[in-house]
Amino acid sequence: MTLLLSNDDVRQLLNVPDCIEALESAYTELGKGEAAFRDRMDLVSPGVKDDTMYILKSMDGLIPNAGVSCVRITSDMHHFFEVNGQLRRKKLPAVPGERYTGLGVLLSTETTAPLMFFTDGVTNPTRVAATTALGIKYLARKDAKTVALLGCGKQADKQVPAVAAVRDVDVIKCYSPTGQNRTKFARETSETYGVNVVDVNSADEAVEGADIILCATNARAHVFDPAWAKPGVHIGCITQFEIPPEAVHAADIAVAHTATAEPIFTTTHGLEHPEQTGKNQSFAKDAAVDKLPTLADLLAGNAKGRENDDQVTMYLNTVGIGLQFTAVGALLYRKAKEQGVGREIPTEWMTQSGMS
Amino acid sequence: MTIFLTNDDVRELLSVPECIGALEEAYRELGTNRAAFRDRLELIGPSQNIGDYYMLKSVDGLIPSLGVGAVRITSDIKEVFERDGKLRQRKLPAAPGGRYTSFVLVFSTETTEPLLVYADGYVNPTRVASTTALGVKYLARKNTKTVALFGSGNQADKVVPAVSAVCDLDVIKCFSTTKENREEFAARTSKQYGANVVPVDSAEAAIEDADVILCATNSKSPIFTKDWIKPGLHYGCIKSSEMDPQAVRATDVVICHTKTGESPFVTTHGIEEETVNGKKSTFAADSGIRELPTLADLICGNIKGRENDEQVTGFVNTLGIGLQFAAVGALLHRKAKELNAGNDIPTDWLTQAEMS
Repeated sequence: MTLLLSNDDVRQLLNVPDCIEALESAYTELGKGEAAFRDRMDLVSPGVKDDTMYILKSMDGLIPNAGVSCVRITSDMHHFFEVNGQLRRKKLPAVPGERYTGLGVLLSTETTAPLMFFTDGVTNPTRVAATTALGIKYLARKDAKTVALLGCGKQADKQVPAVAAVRDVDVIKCYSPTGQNRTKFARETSETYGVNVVDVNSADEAVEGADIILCATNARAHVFDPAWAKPGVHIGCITQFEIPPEAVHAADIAVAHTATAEPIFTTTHGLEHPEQTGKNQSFAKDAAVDKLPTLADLLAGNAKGRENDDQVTMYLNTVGIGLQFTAVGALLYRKAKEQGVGREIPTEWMTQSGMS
Repeated sequence: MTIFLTNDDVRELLSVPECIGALEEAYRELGTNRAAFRDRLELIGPSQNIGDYYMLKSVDGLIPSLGVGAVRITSDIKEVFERDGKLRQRKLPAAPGGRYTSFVLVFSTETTEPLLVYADGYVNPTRVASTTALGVKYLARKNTKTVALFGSGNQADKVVPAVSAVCDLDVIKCFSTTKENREEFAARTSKQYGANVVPVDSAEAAIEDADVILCATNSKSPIFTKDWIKPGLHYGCIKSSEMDPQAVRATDVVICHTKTGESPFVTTHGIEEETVNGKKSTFAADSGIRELPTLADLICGNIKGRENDEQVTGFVNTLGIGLQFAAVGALLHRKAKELNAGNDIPTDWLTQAEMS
């Protein structure tokens, strides 16, 4: 049988420390050449409504030592708009019943069979935050206690338990432009994760005295101000849009997620993807991302980490990779089998007696 | 509901002429930049048995006019063995029940939801043969009567109805190295498709008086050689290894399927490139395939086809692309709905209320 896991199933099975551990092992293997991934590529066409685009995105990963490979697919209707002159992106719930389509397909390297389909709504922000946490674990000062968190959305939510899992945190100061959101966010995340999260009234207030500054927004524009890079600070982000290229150059040690900073878009109808026009276009080149060591290099010991308490370190979380879903998928599959969670469909629906 | 189709379901639903029609539409859209596909990159790692390897292959396609995007996933274990002093490979039926894993997920570009999942074993040779038939339709002489067909396997089988759908043929002369195979093939396909397929005892007998020569074998060394070229001929193949690159260069009007001639791949530890691909192919460079126009260019009229009955024309059908599986997926989904075919599950099991 092939397992189907819903977000509720995943929520029940997946905790942040386990996710961090699974990713730590996956990146270490990647750094040693024992795992592989395919760069994310997006196929883009005009959406049904104005200012929308349909995007089919896929990414693959392979971890032979974990016995799995994975293809992660999202099929999304994107709406692009501006807030205060900044480009933003929103996914529209286009599926009947106001739903979204994002799936991981986990396959066995031992039997080739599809082991599991899992919706990715819980896994996605968790693996992003867990990756940020690995950046912190390997680059931030050991005694880091104060964290600035810019952004109070879904991605920011999971950053709270992630950072708390790798450092002994006194306080997380959160800021987002909408006051109501940040107050609610601070209250809810404090309760849910048992971490001291307080909301503050400006980004400057958030970064004041912070040992770690994390950007976790849906902004398609710079969030990080290079003036915030005080000695000893560690900087993290969830997309490259948040960080100005000069801040990358100014950091003593900057590590990128992968050598590719941007997804590869193939569009129909001569469309221009808004994230690849104007100032967003040249980040990879301006920041020379392909020259930076990767997280896999850092974890496998192929690149230097922090050497003293005065260095400014940065982890650039650029584009997600299929390897993350492969590692988390393996973890979810093991736990789901142990605990009897999820629905099942016959594997024979997706396999065949003749070769193709 | 999301529909699941097995090979048996697909066999009931898919006719070769309809498949040719769907692909013709898809290539026309592609040639006018209203459809897109993603180049493949295979991920390869060790399998349990030393020397064998595991391969994950995915390809994507997007055709807004047909309302679909598709991702095809192939998960294979290849056994590497030596015969006659040469390294050979074969896919192992490693999935439970002695089965193979290769299937396609089809998504709606309007609602983003997963519409259909289908096993690709029946579609695969059908789409290859349909693509070959499109080459014949657009390039062969209008008065084509005699076809030489090399091969007597799965791929050759579907060429019979496909080429019969686009030409008014007198005879298909079939040659393959094993006498019993070609005789059985000719008898079976004649009966099944109502075509006049006759087995012949040599390659020379097959190509004599042939208006069209089609290669549909699993040969790793060239079958079609330069000295087979004669005025008015059209030829086709299903992969580049069947073609002598010099024959390609000697052709008046020659098109390729896509610009790449080989499958790019990355390997993890313990897998040598030569194990996967044998000696590095120089076909792309030797044949000049990357400079050739594509089938899509031809079908949408970006380039000229045959201009007179003396020209030699050719179609080098190299790598499959996700576009083909998207086009066939749209057709299968429509027919499965009409005829209430296949198994289905609630689409909610594969979608989510939260965005990823």
